[in-house]
Amino acid sequence: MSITPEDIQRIAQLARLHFEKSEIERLTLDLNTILGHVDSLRDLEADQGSEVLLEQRSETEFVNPEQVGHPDKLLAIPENFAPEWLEGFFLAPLPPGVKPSGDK
Amino acid sequence: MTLQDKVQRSRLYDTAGLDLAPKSLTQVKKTENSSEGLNVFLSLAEPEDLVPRAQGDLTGVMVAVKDNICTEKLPTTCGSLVLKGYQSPYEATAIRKLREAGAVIIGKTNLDEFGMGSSTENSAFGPTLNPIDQSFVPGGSSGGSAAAVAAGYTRMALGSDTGGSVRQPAAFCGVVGIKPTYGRVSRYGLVAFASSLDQIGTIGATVLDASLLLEVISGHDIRDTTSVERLVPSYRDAATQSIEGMVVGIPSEYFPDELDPSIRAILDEACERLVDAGARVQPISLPHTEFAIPCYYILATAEASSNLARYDGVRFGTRMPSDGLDQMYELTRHHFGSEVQRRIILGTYVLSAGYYDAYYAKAQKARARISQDFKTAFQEVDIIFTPTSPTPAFALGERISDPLAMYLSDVFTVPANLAGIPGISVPIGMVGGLPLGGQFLGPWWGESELIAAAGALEASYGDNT
Repeated sequence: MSITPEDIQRIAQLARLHFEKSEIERLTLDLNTILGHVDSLRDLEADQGSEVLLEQRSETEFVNPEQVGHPDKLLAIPENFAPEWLEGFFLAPLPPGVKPSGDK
Repeated sequence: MTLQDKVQRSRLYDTAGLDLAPKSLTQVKKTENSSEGLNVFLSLAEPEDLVPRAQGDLTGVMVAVKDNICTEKLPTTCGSLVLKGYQSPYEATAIRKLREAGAVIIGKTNLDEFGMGSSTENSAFGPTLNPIDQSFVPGGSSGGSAAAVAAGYTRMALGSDTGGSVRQPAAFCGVVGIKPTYGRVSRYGLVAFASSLDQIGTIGATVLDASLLLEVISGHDIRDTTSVERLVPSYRDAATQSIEGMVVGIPSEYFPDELDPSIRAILDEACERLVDAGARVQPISLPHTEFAIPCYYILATAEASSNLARYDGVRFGTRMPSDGLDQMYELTRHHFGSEVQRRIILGTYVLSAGYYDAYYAKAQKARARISQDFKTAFQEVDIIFTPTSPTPAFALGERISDPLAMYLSDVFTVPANLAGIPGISVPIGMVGGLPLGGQFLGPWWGESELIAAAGALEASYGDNT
């Protein structure tokens, strides 16, 4: 399937990236070349597959944190370590151009 | 017997004209600041930082660290303007383990931005040059770490390997590189590129150097839930173990007809040396190898597009002044280099509505097949031997404007990351004045067997001096 400059613009917006027109033309060309190669995955038969990956997970022995015996700091109450915390949210410095709503 | 006494110099290093005697920090600074500088380091330690904090296996040994592994004091830039001057508030677990073993960090090494590249040309701070011939790339993305060892600045360096980023530069620079099993080394403090593929690896002047470094940094870490609680064997002892009776698989897919005859001849010679050392060589097939590159560049970019969303000017590094939030995001993220932007766009595309099943879901199935190929193969053979890369180092600028050609240079290294298995690259010869690497791949947690085979091969070249 072919990707268009309009597709690139839409995707760029999703990815919070900005491109000039010449950059979009270059990206369209690059992505069509790469996706042309990637399309060989279509040759992969539509049988099995993900089942094997699930089976493979047993190769690695994931550890249950409870068995290790150390407290998980990420389970601590956020109010105890967050610099600023309000009604379940972290408070970050306001980005430029954003005014406080004043209704907290 | 000290580490230095045990290290055997290989005939290959002499052929490459490499001086492996350790340099002092002053010597490294002097060389890097001269016209012979290779642009290896993005930051260097001060003399007072080279005092060991503990006594251990690596007391006083200088280790170079890829600049996507978090360190206190020295910045962690990932080779990106987005993180220029960024100072991590904590250290990676691998760095903590190094310090506990007495090692000192000489500096942070150059890399392709966020690990995305195969030549170290994608660094925002300029390319690193190959120490053997400065008109060639050192490979990537851990090109700075491989060059640091090849140039003799350090005997050991840390890199990270998401699709071959430790093994390929090690091959291009004539040194040894190990990518461990996924979960062997903690990823805590490794800046994420593609989390299901990333693994910290080691680079050494010899098999023993790389193995000892791996032994030091391996092990379970409560801070990384994908690290595994499993005994760490003595990898340093494995470097000198016999390979008598070991069965080595030779996969036909890694020896295509297009392979240069001079490269094939060197690989054939390496196989003969393995047989001479007591191993048995057996042809095998890994039939889904052809899907590895398409699969990798879908999954890795999809994960990267998510992982790199955090660089928005709010939480980390650079924040561009602007009139509003959306503009701030875009202006800040415009600091990504062109390869990173290309991969973010590709990753966002393959995850977007309407394309997920065509790309991401297919790639997951291909990954499972590739993994199954290895599982089947390791029922017949102990380890697998392949070239590390289809060619030796390529010239600076040769592939930078052709992303697909650059991606295809990873064809023999990405399958190990997709399957999560370990791999090691060891020098096996010279082609046109440039080093060539041979790669051993092993089953999950089979590092010791790989190290033994690589050690035996290395020793066989040493015997000829």
